[in-house]
Amino acid sequence: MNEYKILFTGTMGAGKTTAIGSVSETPPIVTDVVNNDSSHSKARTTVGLDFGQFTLESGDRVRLFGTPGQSRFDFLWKILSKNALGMIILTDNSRPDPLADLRVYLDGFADDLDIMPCAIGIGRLGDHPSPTMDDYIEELARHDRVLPVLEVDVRKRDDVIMLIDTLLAQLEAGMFGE
Amino acid sequence: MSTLRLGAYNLPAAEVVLVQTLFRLFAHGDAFRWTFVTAPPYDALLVDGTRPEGMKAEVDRMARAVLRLVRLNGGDAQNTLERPIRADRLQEWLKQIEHDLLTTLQVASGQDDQPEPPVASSPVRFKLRRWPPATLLRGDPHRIRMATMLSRRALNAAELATISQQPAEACQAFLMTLQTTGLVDVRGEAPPRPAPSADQPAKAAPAKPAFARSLISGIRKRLGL
Repeated sequence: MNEYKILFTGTMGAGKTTAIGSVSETPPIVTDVVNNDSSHSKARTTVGLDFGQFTLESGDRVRLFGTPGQSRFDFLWKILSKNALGMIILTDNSRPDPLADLRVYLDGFADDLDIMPCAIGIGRLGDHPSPTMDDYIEELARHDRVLPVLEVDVRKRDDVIMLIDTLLAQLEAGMFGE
Repeated sequence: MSTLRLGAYNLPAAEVVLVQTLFRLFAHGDAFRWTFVTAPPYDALLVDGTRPEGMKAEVDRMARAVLRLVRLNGGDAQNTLERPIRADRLQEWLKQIEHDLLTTLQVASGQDDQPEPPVASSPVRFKLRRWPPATLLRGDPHRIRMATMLSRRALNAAELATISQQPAEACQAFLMTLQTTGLVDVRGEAPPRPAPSADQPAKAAPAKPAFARSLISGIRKRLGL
């Protein structure tokens, strides 16, 4: 049996735990504690990592890891990203500066993003239309990245699956011609 | 009588509604050839000339003619229109562009030896230079998948059809839309070389190609894709 890994990252409250729960066959293992970060109203937050998984017909497993949201835990990001099939960056458009949030992850995972499939999921865009999708695309262009940018509601399984599918499509495109 | 297509790029919703309303009024005349569309291809495009993205060269490649909306007293340069939008001035510009476009078409139709643009049916490959706007993808999983593949490597229509398992016609149409809107770069005809990213997903390269394909199809099956 082989095990593979997909990483979910993004700011606190972006919905990493919910996204993992949307596709995991088991309830996600969550390492939440009471939030004492006064900059965010969320009652509880992840300080270690979230974990879910699903099993393929072959018996292989795909493990879904969510990073802790706060950048002070960025030492864990490198560990978690190692050997991942791909990474999903979730943003929360209700936050004060979602593009600055995105920059944290584009910079923090810069080395990984040179080779690893990645997709951006924008949450709460309906209620918070600014920045727009185009603003995100422009931000990525400033980082010389062309990555899938999709509006998502992480409570919806189909939205999360769509993000995962873009990771698979990137893998397929990369293998073409082999 | 052929119809010409006007679109809007990043305009405030109120102005889009205003233009749509004006078009309904203009259409009462027999000679009005324009229709307002929400998706490419465009013959002409209305953009916000006061925003940085409205001034980019990519915007000029999205249509054969671009009209930029500027502030009141913002100047009367060619292909600009001061706000608020005045019906007579918009109509005047459309008539001028209509004349130019139809003249160009007539000249082009008389010149069979015109070089063809690098359309998607050719072996020329295309690579996404910028992720397409949501209005172009329309939430269509197939379009999203095709755009994703083109974001990763340069492909022609036949190759895109093979990888995405979509009909060649759909891939060709999608590539043409991307090309019309200036979202793809044209690349040479060199055979595809495996991209390092997919060769070695996450550095450790857990899978050889055949095995990786089996893994990908296994994940898709498990997720109901």
